[in-house]
Amino acid sequence: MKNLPNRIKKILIVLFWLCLWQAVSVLVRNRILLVGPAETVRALILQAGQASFWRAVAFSTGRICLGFLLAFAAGIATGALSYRSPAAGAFLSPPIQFMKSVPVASFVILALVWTGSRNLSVLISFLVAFPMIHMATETGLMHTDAKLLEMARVFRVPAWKTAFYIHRPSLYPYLLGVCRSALGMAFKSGVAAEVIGVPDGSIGEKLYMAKIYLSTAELFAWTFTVIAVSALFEKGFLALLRAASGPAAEKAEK
Amino acid sequence: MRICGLTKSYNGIPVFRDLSLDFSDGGTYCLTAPSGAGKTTLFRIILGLEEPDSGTVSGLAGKRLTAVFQEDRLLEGYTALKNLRFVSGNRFSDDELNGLLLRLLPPDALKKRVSAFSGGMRRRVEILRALIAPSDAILMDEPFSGLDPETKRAAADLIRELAKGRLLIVATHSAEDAGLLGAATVRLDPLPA
Repeated sequence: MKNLPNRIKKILIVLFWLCLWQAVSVLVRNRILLVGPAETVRALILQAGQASFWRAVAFSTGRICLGFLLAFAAGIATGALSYRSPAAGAFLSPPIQFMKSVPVASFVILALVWTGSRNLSVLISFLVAFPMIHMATETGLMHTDAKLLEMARVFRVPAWKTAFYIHRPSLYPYLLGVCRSALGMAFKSGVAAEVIGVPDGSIGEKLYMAKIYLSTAELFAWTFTVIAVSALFEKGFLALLRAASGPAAEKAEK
Repeated sequence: MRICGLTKSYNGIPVFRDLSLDFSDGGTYCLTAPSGAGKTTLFRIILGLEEPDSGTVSGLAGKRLTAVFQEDRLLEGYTALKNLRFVSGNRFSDDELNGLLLRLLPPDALKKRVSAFSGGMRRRVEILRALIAPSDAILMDEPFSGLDPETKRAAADLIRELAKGRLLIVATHSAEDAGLLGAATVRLDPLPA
């Protein structure tokens, strides 16, 4: 095992866990309690052949991603505002702390009253991701190299150039870290909200139906779909973030 | 520029007391002083980065200053050209800036990021950055530290050429730097203990 390439090692580890999962499902012999990977894949293939599967994926992914992207833009804007103006930071602090600490379920119920279930996942993924991105932006900007800022001030460099060449590189490592977790959280809470609100044609509704009909294979298949979609969006978004951050990205990832 | 009765202390320890100096527009000065005499503090006050305890710096209203700081302050992830572009505005074309860089750096350095540069190479980029930025006065804090005699001479030649007509104040330990730059020497004596 020691001399195997990393890729092979990873595949072997995954295979081990899949085999264990299959073995346990065979031992349990109860398709309601646990289904194995083979049956999950079968259910997934069956679902993927239906147009409603893709519609549900598009419905939920589109809304959760929209909520996250709105949170990303708003979090950067308010984080930058808090950095520029401590008074604005103090003003924004209570709602940010509130959003951070209120349970997602409470938000879901409130949002159901306010907006109905259709766009529930937009609001919930926004509320989950926004405070995280706001705080990461503020912290990242506060850790900007003060000596470089002094240099820019002395040379009277325009504010946009200072933001692009000095603040942006300092922000990147903080945004990278927070976006990784915020994206995962947005998908988890977005889908959880859909399970509570049950909007028509969403992944949440499909998961809810799987629960009602005790179809564990479908439940697993949808769970796998959410994980895959979330990972794909994360990869794409982080690649864009990396490209937008220029040389800072390479330095931060070394 | 006139410095009048300037006093500055940190935690009750005076750096300089009642310091008065005169610098004429377009002049070149070497401010020589041993370490700890307050050269860097004086520069920071002139640049507006620190406030004196008392005294005034006059004659800088509406004037632009540039500086070589005591330590390197370059944009690490970028090339020397990008570092110059950061401050130069549109006064120079890329070809002109590369031509100036080639007077101080080896040709292969132009493709590298400054994070890969030696201390001396970084210093030369700092010097050039202060020279090409639009300004009325240039302050250089130990600009030749880390430079060998040959590159120091090349840097001094470029400073003389590009700083012409602007007030230039160079803080240095070495009295011979005044000769290299054709500068008048101003001595900043440390306060008696």
